[in-house]
Amino acid sequence: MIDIELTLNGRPRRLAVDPRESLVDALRERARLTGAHVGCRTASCGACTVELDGNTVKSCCVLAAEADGRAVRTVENGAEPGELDDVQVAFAEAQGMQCGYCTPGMVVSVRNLLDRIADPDDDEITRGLAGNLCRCTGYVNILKAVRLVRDRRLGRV
Amino acid sequence: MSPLTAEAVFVAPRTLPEVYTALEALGPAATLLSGGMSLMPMLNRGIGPRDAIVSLGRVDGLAEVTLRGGRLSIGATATHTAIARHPLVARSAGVLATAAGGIGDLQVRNRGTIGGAVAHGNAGADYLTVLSALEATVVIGGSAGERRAALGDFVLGLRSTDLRHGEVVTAVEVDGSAPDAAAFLRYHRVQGAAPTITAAAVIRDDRTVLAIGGATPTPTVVRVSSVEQALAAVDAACAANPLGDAHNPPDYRRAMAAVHTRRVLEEAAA
Amino acid sequence: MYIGERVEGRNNRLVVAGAGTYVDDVRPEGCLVLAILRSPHPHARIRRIDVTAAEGRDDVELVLTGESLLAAGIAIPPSGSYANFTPRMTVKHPLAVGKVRYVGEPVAAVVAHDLVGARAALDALMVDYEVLPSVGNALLALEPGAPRVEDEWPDNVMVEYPFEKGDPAAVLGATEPSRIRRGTLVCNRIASTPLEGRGLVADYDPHRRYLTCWASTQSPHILRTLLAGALDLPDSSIRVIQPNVGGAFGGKIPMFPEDIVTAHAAIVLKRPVKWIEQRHEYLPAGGHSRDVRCDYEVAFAADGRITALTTELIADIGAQSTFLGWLMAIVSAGCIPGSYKVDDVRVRLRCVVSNRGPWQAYRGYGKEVSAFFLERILDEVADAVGRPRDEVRERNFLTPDVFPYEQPSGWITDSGDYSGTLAKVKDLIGWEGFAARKAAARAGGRRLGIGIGHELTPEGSSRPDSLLSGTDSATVKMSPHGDVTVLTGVTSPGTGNETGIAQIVADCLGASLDRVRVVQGDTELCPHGNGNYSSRSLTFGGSSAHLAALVVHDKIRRVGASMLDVAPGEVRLDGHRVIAPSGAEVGFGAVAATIYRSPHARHMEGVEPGLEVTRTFKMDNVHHQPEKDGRYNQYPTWSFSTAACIVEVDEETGVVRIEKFALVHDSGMVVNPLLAEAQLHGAITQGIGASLYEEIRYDDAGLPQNLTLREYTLPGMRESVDIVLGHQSTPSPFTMMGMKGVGESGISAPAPAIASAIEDALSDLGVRLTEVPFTPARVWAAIQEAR
Ligand SMILES: Cc1cc2nc3c(=O)[nH]c(=O)nc-3n(C[C@H](O)[C@H](O)[C@H](O)COP(=O)(O)OP(=O)(O)OC[C@H]3O[C@@H](n4cnc5c(N)ncnc54)[C@H](O)[C@@H]3O)c2cc1C
Ligand code: FES
Ligand code: FES
Repeated sequence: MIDIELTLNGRPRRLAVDPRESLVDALRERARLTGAHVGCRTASCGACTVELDGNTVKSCCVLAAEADGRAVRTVENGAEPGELDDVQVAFAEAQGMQCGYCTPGMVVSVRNLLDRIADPDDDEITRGLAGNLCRCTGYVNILKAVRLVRDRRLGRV
Repeated sequence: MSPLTAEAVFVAPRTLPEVYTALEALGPAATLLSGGMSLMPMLNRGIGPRDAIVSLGRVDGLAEVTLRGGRLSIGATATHTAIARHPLVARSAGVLATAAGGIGDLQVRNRGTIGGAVAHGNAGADYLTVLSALEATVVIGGSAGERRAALGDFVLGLRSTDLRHGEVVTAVEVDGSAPDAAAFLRYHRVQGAAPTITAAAVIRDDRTVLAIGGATPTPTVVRVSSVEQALAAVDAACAANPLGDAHNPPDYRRAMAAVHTRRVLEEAAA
Repeated sequence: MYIGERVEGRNNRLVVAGAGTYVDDVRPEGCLVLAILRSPHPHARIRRIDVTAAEGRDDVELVLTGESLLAAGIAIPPSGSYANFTPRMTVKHPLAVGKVRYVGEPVAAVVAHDLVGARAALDALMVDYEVLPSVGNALLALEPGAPRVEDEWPDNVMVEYPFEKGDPAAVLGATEPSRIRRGTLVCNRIASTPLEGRGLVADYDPHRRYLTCWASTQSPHILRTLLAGALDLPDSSIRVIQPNVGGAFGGKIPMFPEDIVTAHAAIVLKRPVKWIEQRHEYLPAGGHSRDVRCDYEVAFAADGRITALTTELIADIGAQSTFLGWLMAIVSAGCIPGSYKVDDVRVRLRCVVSNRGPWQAYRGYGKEVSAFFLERILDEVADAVGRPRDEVRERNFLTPDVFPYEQPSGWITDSGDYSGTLAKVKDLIGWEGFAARKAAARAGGRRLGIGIGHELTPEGSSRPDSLLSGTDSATVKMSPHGDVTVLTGVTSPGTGNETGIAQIVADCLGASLDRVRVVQGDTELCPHGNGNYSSRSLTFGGSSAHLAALVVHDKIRRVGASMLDVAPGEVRLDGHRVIAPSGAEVGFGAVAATIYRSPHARHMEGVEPGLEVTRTFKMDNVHHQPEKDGRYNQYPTWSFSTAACIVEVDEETGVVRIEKFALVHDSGMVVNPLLAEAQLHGAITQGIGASLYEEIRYDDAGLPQNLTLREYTLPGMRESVDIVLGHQSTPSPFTMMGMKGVGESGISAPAPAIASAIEDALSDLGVRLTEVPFTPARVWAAIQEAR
């Protein structure tokens, strides 16, 4: 086992991890943050998406050891249980999910997208979320959710 | 960070010499890790040794992009995202930025590196194709010193390169002056699938270099004199060294190689 | 009224926070991790398994093999009887005994402290295989002298199911050759691929002799019963809890070999054990669907009316396992000719075993296969007689006056108005006037095409002599404060039926929706039910909850009326209150308090005490009494949809892009349009995925070619399509409120609609598409062939 120190959702955190262990497993099993999900472990589905130093990554294919000294942000984002941000509220209202397994990864990607591009068009939204698969929704309501939070932030609705 | 057990190790040196030392000390069991976007999916499926990881992720300066002596040098750990956004790359080799920006998806681009892609040597990989057309040089480091190889000599076959154990791709170099014209096309079946065909054409001083990836185990590179000659050369290469998989059989890839030969040459000429 | 409202899904705010508890989030103290060693060979005899190195590892607690399970008495005998066909069955082993029959078949299991350790232990297992000749597909398996997948069977045919109506041979014989078409159509293999894999956590309490399982399952009660049978425990010693489920689509029912192995390990070790399927295990071994070939012969009149149809279906069901998926092929056969009136029909189905992976239920459940075949045949007939494709469908549709209609298979279609959905979808897509658009695009060098596809989606599957029968139960209870809890036997693997059930109960009771809680997925809490499959959750679960709520309603009404001093018939229940004609009212809280606190007082005279009611609903029009030529009716409600789409085809590459997709569905009365539409979006996108992007491939030896999601490619957001939906409602005469199932609607129509549109885009070339999915390579090859 090795010790790593990271900033997890804004707070310093020390974890003992196996050198072979993926970041997603360290987050889920050791930090007990189970919002990031595992759908493939081959960097395909994006259910495990978290931010690493401000960039979205698929945490199944990042070793936990590599997060040493870095900042990791998950869907939980340090919020109190029951507290949702505007991205999450938009997903809930637009029915941007069914089983919800992909949703935490989607939320992380949408937060990151809107941090980079305040007013993304449909094409930019699509490219921003291309690495997140959803098997339930057909993406129709996910697109609606992203448009909704974008427009709310820009005071359009 | 300190390894607590002898069973598995993870090292992330700060300098290349330390990387070489670690690779030597750990021997054939050592696995070199860069962005992990090709390696980790395999390790996660139980393919390949995973008990001794040497990460390039913390080597200082290895992700740098520089323009020196007329050569654009891209450090091995520069990510696809960084390359897609880098102003020097945009200025000197815009097609490389285009290619980098289209690889996989955002999360993959945020981790995957050019050194890893070149070392992985996968057929159809965007970089191999565009770097072939750019006539890139691969810079390879090791405890015995540094050597350089033309990309075409470095990639030997499907996922096979001239890299010896203990060696590391440290950078990729291309001509630092922008070509007169260039184009890059990627054709993939669906998001998330490996590209079926990648095509690049670079025109410099009336010399056109075409590279087609995905229809042969390594990119087919042609010095183009006419579209017909290029089509014939690409087709002959596909016939001699066919490549295919369940979704894209060899005859289809061969036909697509022709289609994209024409399309990329047209686009570069436009 | 809440029914008909677009109420947000009840789990939304939980799962969007990342706070959902999926099976891998269940972590009892001291939980161990189980991993499965799987066969790398399509067909091989197991000579020896050397477990010593694995067992010798410090962190390994247990190693199991087929032999050790056999020694523990664990094997699954065949069960279930079938009214009108007799399948060959075998005893199933959760871990292979003697030989392996497909790549990915479970061979051994290890239990270690964590995933990293379990993987290392798998590496340490040594299996000595004798590789056997294999059959990589059904056609090879049918060849004389082919290697046999089951040693005890004379050949590789598991079941043959023929039926006939009229005399198709005579009609074909009397038809002139220009009015006959013959051909072969192929539906290739796909996998449902929920984003969350399968998984189970088992925890055994040796003191109480009590096993608790958390499972990513669709049917907790059925899983409990099957596990009890496999492990020889009383049903009452097992509790199955369904946590949040990350998608299922049929793929998580009813029990898997790994479930048995994991539960057994927990019992042996007396410690909690978790098995979580990895994607590279799922793709070859989690169960597939489709993989059916159809050789057909069709005769038709000059106006496109089909006069006779014969179909020879060969279903490659892969290796037989504990899975139940092979029954999908029966449904494919039973749904021919489906929406079309053909009086002379012959269908013969053969389910053939091969060294491919086994089948597992998937949304569509075989109906998508018959829809693809039928629609392709309709298009071909239209082409042959030179009439428009919509007109030829009209000509052949069953008309609304014929229902209930007995299909040649004996199944009884409840109601329908197929012309209605066709007409509506033509409006939505812009059918009239498209020819001009197409011509203009062609002049500009683009190839556009338009197509239609119709689907019939019988729902509420009710198999005879099966736990998957046609009933379900619900309990409705009101607390002393007047709060309502509904316990149901149906479950929601992310489909949202808990929201719809709450709406139904709230309306029935006159309750406030926010005071109705729905609890599902726990065998100790919920009444017996079959769970979620075949779009039954609202038709069965909603109806049983409705029945139970009616009883509660009646008590509240009577006691409330008494409290208001009026006759029970005079009050109405609304907004969680009982309201008298005068406007005087009493809240449910006060009424419930009276029922609980004052059972002996005046208002309770003649009223049975208590406010907890359980009712079981049974579909009226299912019958398993084979008076009718050994036939039975398995499907109570028959939803249907018509899709239309416009595609653009790149004739050089064969790449197909969907420009517009419209679908009009008729699922009877819709409880929650928001969630019903969401289901349709998902089903249509899965249908599109299976039409263009997804395909499980094997080589001739049976080696799978898709081991990751980079080869089994699901549609991503870049492939998503702007879906236009339309609704029609032809209520079922047999269900409560006329509901029909909606969960599968939309998955079948895309493939034929897209095929039809691609052919239209290439109409001048005369391209025929006979094989789905229409990958660029296939479309390109079809273009080359036509040239
Ligand atoms: C979902 C997904 C989609 C993708 N789509 C595309 C695509 O469209 N086009 C495309 O081209 N690629 C695609 N890729 C692959 C991606 O580009 C990878 O980033 C790249 O192939 C490998 O780079 P890496 O830094 O991640 O290398 P790693 O995965 O870390 O390493 C790959 C191999 O190279 C070795 N290696 C790494 N760095 C060095 C070095 N500096 N010197 C010597 N050896 C080294 C490693 O030991 C390993 O064997 C995709 C990957 C995924 C997961
Ligand atoms: S689990 Fe990481 S991308 Fe699928
Ligand atoms: S909501 Fe189920 S995978 Fe997206």
